[in-house]
Amino acid sequence: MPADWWQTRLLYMAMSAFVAWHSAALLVAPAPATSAIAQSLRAVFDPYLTMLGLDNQWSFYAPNIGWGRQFRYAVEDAEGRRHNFAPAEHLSWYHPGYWWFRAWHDAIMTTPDLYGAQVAAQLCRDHASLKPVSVSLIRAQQGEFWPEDHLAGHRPMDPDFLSEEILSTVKCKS
Amino acid sequence: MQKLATIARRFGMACARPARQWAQFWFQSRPTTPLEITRIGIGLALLTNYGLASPYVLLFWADTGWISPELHAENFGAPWRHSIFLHLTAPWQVIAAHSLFLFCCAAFAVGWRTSWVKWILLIGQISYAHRNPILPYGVDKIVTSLLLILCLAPVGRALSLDRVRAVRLAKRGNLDAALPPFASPWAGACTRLMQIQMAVLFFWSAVEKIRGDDWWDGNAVWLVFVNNEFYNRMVLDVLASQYWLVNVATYATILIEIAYPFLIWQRRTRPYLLAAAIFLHVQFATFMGMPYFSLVMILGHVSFVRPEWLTRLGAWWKRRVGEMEMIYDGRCGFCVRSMAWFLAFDGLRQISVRNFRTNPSPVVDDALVERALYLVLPDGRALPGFEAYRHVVLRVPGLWWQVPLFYIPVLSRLVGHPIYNWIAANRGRLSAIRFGIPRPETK
Repeated sequence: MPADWWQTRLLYMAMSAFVAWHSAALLVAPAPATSAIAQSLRAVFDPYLTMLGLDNQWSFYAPNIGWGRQFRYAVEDAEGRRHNFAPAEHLSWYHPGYWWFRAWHDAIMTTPDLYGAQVAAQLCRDHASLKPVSVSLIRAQQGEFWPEDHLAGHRPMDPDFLSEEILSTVKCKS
Repeated sequence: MQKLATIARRFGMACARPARQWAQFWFQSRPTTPLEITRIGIGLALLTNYGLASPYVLLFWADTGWISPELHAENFGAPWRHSIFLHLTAPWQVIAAHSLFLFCCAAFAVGWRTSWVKWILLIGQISYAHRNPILPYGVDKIVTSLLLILCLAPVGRALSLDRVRAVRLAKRGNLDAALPPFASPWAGACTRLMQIQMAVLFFWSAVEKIRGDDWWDGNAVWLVFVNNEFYNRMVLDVLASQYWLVNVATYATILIEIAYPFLIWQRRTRPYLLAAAIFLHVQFATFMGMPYFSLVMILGHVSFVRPEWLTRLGAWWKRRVGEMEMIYDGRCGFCVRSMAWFLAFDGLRQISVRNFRTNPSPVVDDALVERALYLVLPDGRALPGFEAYRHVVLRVPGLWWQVPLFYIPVLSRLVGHPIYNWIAANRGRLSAIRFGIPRPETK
């Protein structure tokens, strides 16, 4: 057999093997963690999926959407006054920063133990003009809001439809 | 021995059909055009997205930002999760890497040195995601998946500066020379991979939705617009009074997502599924403020656009505009070099050329062409110099990027005419300048 023939054959086999491998990886990546077969296959594909950032669930707004939540914080000044802030309300919808800062806020609300101190310290510096004594990180949880509420003139972020939970309060260094 | 040979022959025959089908499914020779459209779109989308991230680059991806190296090692470290940014310690290094990435995004979009620029983009995209795993959301993951396929694909062979350079090289010797359009079985395989990517994505997306009560009960769309992330007063006004629309939109979303991976492959149903998927993403962009996500998804769907649709579209455009003829001075080296550049952008080959020195035009007098280049239109009109270029840039898709230069009201003509006239008058002198191209040896 001529060398060219072997070269073409080998190249074809390599390409075939790759497309089969990659397609299988794409199928396995989002498979549920509870499936034993999927998990055993995942072990094989894991390095490939992780290294190339292909390890995705593709679960956009699923299985449930929920009622939403928002990150807020309150700064207490030297005179005991409380200043409330909702940083997400100042973000522009059509700027990618909207999603980046939302993701950051979400991380703070999900794992306040991890980021709380760092965020609070930064907020103390940002609001130095208020002479802050402490900063409280807050999770504002939206409640149920149905068409009749909207038709009655309410908004989903009205206080009646929100419950606030203080995640942590951090003293500012003077 | 004979038995063995018979078994081997039978085995070979049994394998032949699946092997043929496998080759037909994966390795049909295809042009890269749909992938090139995705390349251009992804390049521009990344450039915009990360360009807008520039003011926050140190906050997001530097050691002094949100995720310190210690925090990263403790919470996000994994053996296979690498990031260039974890090795860049000084802020200037992060800024330099970010700038290089942005430059490569632009190069990728225009198709300049695509064969290596694409890899920098992939490494960069993965590095951003791995350095700060908090930030990436759905669209970043889709971009990474599509980029990987584009890296493997032979992109840059059409709708790119690389292609323009190759065509120009061919035309430098002979302006009538043409490069055949690029097509390869590997381009077919990569297109197929992208199609599978999109089908898998839609399939799992639908499956996940069906598992949830919000979707199953038909309320999901209401919950989306009530959520403070997507709150839209105007949309809620309509949905609250016509709640059935919420149910229809919710179930239609699931229906499109579940139908897509199965019906997108068939010749008859593909146009409908493509239209439905694009419609869905346009809705997301308009009502949920997700233009980046929607654009990237639509670019992924482009892999299902049949090359023959694009060919037909090109032929329709060519017919609509009509053939144009440029009459130039073949004795002027500068004119020939400029024409080679210019024609290299004419991917649809809408412009034919005529050297009036060897082939005088029956429409335009030689004395006129001595003074300026002429463009003869299908209706017999002839436009000189700047007006010729102005006419062409609007009608040749490869030159559309020049439209803003040629069509600034008043200013373009005010500046363009004198510039053109000066160049035309000095073309002899300009021909002597070789811009680094060695002069042919004279005896």
